[in-house]
This record gives sequence, C-alpha cells and structure tokens, in this order.
Amino acid sequence: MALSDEQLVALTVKGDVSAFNEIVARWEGRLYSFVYRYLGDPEEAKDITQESFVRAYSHLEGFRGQSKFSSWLYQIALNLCRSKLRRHQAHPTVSIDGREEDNPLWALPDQRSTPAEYTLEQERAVAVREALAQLPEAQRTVIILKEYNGLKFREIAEILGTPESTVKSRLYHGLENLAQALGHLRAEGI
Amino acid sequence: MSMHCEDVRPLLAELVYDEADPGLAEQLREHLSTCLSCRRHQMAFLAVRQDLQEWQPAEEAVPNGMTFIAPGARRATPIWHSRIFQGLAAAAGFMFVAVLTAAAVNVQVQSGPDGWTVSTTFGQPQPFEPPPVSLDQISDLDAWFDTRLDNQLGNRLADGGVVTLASMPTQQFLTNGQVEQMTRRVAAMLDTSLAQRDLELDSRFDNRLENMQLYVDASLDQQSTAFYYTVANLVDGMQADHRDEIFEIGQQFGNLSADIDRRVAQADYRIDNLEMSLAAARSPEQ
Repeated sequence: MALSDEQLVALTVKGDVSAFNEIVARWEGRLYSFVYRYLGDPEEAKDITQESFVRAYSHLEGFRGQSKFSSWLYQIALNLCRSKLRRHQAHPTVSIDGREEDNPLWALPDQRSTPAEYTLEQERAVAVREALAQLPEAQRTVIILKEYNGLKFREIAEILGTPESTVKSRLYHGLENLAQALGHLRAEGI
Repeated sequence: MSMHCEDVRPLLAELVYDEADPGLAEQLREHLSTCLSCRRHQMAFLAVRQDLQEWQPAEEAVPNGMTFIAPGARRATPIWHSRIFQGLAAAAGFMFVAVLTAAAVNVQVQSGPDGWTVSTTFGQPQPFEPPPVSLDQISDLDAWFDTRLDNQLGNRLADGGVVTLASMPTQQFLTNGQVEQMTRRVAAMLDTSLAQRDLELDSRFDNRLENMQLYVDASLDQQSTAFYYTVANLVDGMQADHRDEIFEIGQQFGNLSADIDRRVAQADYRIDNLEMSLAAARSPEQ
C-alpha cells in the first residue's frame, strides 16, 4: 500500500532521501500544472516548481502537519508565484525564450483535425487563457485550483487561508466574469 | 421552502462543480426547474467550464521529471562549521590583519651602534606578503569551491536538476591573491556558463524556426490536399448530377467542331481555287 504524504514527510525528516523523491514524483505534475496556468510561462513554471520543492525540503522540519502536506506545498508554490508576479510588475522584462513558442498557434498541427478545425481549437485555447489572465488574481487562483487541479472547496480554503464561503464567492464571481469574457466564443461561432 | 433567485445564483457554482450538499442541491434543482433565468445562468457556468477545458497545455507534466539531489548538500555539516576549520580560519584572519597592518605601516626594527631603532614608512606602498595559510586548507577550499561551481553549472544546465546552494562567506580568511584567483575562476566559470546558455538559446531558436517551418509546411500540405479533394469531389459531383447535359453539350461541341472543321476546309478549298484562278489570270501565256 502506498504511503501517505505525511508518512513520506516523516521518513524524509528521519533522513530517508528516497521518500522525498517519491513526494516529488507524486506532486510535480500537479504542482507544475497549477504554476503553469497561474504564470502562463512554461520555463518559469518549471523553475517555480523546482523552487517549491527545494523550499519545502529546506523547511520540512517546520511542517507541523496542521494542514495537509499537499496544501502546504501549494501554499509555497502560490507564494513563489505571487513574488514572481510582483517582481515582474516592478521590473517588467521581455522574455527571450517563452511566449512565442508557448503560443499554441505555433504548435505542430494535430493530424486528427483539419487545418480549419485545428486553428479554431487553438484560437479557443488562446481566448480562454487570455480571459483567465484578465481575472483578478484571487478569482483566477480559485478557478485554476478548482477547475484544473480538481481541489475541494475545503482544500482551496486551506491553501489560501480563507473561509470556504470566500472561496465559493470568488469562484462564483470568477465564473460570472469568464462567462462575460468568453460569451463571444459562441456568439462568433468560435 | 422555495428559494429566491438572488439566493440561488451565488450557489450555482457549487452545483456546477457537484459540491453542493445533497439537500441544497435538491432545492436548487427544484428552483431551476421553474426559473428560466437561473437556468440560463447555470448553463452559462457549464459553458464556461467547457471552455476552460479548451486550454490543455501541451506540456502538462514536467519533462523528464525532476530529481531531487539536495539532501547531501543540506544534511552534511559544511566544512566551515567544523571547529578545526574555524580555528584555522580565525588564525589565518588574525595573521592576515597583522600582516596587512605591518605592510601598511611598514614597521622596521634594526639594531645598530646606537642600539635598537624602530622606524616606519607609513603610507608608502610596500609589496604585499601573504600570510602563511596551510596548503591543505587552500586545497580543501579550492576543491570545495570547484565542486560547488561544477554542481551549480551542471545543475543549471541539466534538465530538472535541483540543488540548494549556500553562499560562500570565505573572503574574510583568504588572501588578496587567493580572492583574485577565485574571482578569476568564478568569472571563467560564468563565461563558460553564459557561452553554453547562448548555445542553448541558439539551438532553441533554431528548433523553434524549424518547428514553425514544419508547421507551415504541414499545414499547407494539409490545406492543398484538402482543396484538391474538395475540387475533385465537386467536379465528380457535378459530372454525376449533370451527366446528360454534359453528354449533350459534348455532342453539340463535337458537332460544332465538326461543322467548323468542314467550313474551314471549304474555305480553304475556295481560297486555293481562287489563288489558282488568280495565278492563271496573271499567267503571261493567257
């Protein structure tokens, strides 16, 4: 039977390195997925994901188990993401290696769809990404954690350190904003 | 108890994510069955969820996975924490300061016929004498520093490497010469790292161009093939739909061609005759 995260953490604290590697293998995909959707840049997402694990490892002895380990890990990643955004806003830079290649329109065509279908799919993806990016940070975070990471309201509340009612309210307003922003997709037949 | 729209709306998010309590979900569904406006609201939320699924990043997982290699670096007590090393460092520091002071003040003690004399040439530049630091100590530091830099460089370039790097507070017990040597080494390492980074970027840029070209080529191929088949199908369809008319037009065209050919032949024949008559008329024999 697979060990729980908390059991793996206990083993790591006792010096079992492989236990932490198991935690990394278990969570890297989901953490990367969250960070990528939050920042929208694959290279930065990789860096932040790595950094999150390093931070978690460095402060593992400080993890008291008051919340789930995964929530604690998400908290670390979220804090790093927020710092990154703050730094970007304070010192905006132009990336030399991201963005364009990240743009799904530049991806190789999917052989299963025709060029027209493929282009439409990619346009929808870009529209969704842009609409998400326009949301207030609090709403965007909740929507990413809920929709893409499939977390429960209780888990999101634990990560954000807010009451569940606040999470629900942010989700509701986020969906309303998205419905307004993405309404044109159907109106224009995209 | 029936619910009002203003109470229902904020709860719709819970319903579309299947996280409403069963009792509440029942009440919400009951309201939705009779309220078109709220049902539209619910449909809009469901549509947004469907739209959100359109953004599926191609790179969902970290490529090649990550390997965590920090424990050795974190758990092992760093060499500069050992008492022996700290003692050596303190001694070296003390000597360094003493030699620096002596070098700056240049104290000279000489014995002469008048006894011992002490003189200084304060302010005059004097050649710097490094303090006696043990070779082993330098060698250890050197090796440690090299390993750190190698790890840093290697991990920066290796995909997915994770390492915790400590800062290196060693300058206070190194001689100027050693600091300069280390600085040069760091500069050389950084140059190498930057050069490799440049190469990596160049390679990525080339790959991106190549991918774009591939995409454009593939897309054009697909589009031209699709267009060819569309036209071919269209022509096939038209031929099938208008087979009789096409046949009739073909016949008419054939008849017309034959008629034109016949008329041209007749005209040619007449022209020939006329030319012959003209030639005969101009002939001096007649």
